[in-house]
Amino acid sequence: MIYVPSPKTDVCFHLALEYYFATEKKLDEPVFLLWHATPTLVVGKYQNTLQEVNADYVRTHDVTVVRRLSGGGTMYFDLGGWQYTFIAHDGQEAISFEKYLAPVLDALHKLGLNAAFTGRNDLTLDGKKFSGASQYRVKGTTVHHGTLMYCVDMDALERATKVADAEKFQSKGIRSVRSRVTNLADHLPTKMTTDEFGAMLADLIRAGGEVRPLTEEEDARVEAIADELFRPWERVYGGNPKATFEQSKRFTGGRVTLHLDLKNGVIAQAKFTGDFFASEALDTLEAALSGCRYEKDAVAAVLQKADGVIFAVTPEELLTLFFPEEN
Amino acid sequence: MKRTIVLPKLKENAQDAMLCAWLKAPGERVEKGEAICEIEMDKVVCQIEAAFSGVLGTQFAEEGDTIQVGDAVATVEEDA
Repeated sequence: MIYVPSPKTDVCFHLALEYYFATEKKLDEPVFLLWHATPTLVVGKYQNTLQEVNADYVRTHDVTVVRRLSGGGTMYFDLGGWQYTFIAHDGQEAISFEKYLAPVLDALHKLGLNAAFTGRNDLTLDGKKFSGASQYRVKGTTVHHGTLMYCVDMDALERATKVADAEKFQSKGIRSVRSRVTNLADHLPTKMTTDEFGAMLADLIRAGGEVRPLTEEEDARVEAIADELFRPWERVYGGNPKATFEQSKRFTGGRVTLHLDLKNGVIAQAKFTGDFFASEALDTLEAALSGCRYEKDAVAAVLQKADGVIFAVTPEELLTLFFPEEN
Repeated sequence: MKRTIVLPKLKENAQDAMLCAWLKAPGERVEKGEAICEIEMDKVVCQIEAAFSGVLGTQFAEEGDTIQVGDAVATVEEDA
């Protein structure tokens, strides 16, 4: 096993680092990474961010939202946790989680933690989850990665993933499964900092394997992959599956129902119906909304330009139809 | 000759998968070993590859559909 240390704290860089060793720099032995990142919500490849991410919270608390290439549900992590990755060229073998989780479990046992593997590919302590794992396969290579909650901010985790009106969306995306969670630091017999825990874990898992830092050229290449595959808005929100919803409210000017079709994070079609009075410019407003990113600021800007189109209904009121949970 | 591609059993205890994205359209040429679609099975995203070269025929599932292990995914009109 080859251990590639990475001191950066940018989630996009590390997801790109995994991809780099999976597709471009194929080493003879499996690669092991142990890394952490600033507050992040990472959604599964085929999840709908609209149903998984508290947009207001991540905007006001500087939480990075990123879409990974593997499956499964949404994970929150911060510098109080560690992420591990194994990259192996075993694509013809049957899919296995146990094979990759075994060295992690073994290391945790050596640290005095009575961790267990569960049927949903999670690791638990006293029945509470502290680690979730997922995989993707690309060109005969398996990338297996997972989280390890050490002293993660549980309040932030709860709030960042709380989407009050998630069920309003009709979508075929993969949904997250909520679990009771716990931090490893609360169970360790010997107290240590997050960095001390990470250093011990890395030593135990690599078990004497080679340590191979990245070269400057490799670092630059990984940054380029991050720019291409993980940082663009189109990759994070544009990867959303198709979704639709209807929202109805009564205002001074009458009842207004919004019918919205979303595709790749962008409004494909918006239609207003109801018992309100509107000018002919309503068609223009609906057309202007088509192609607009489904983001509060972007939609608000379009609505502001159409002030007065629906009699006695303000742009701010119309905005509450688009983003009801955030108002 | 028309050949059928089925969802293989990729993981023990996994009985189904979501067909997430078609990578080839009906009528499009596929080479042996080339991916025709992407699936998610029990937290694993992977691709189903064509076992033979030819032209993709019928797609038996839409993006977002759940398919069972052994179900037909698509047909390929194999090169003579």
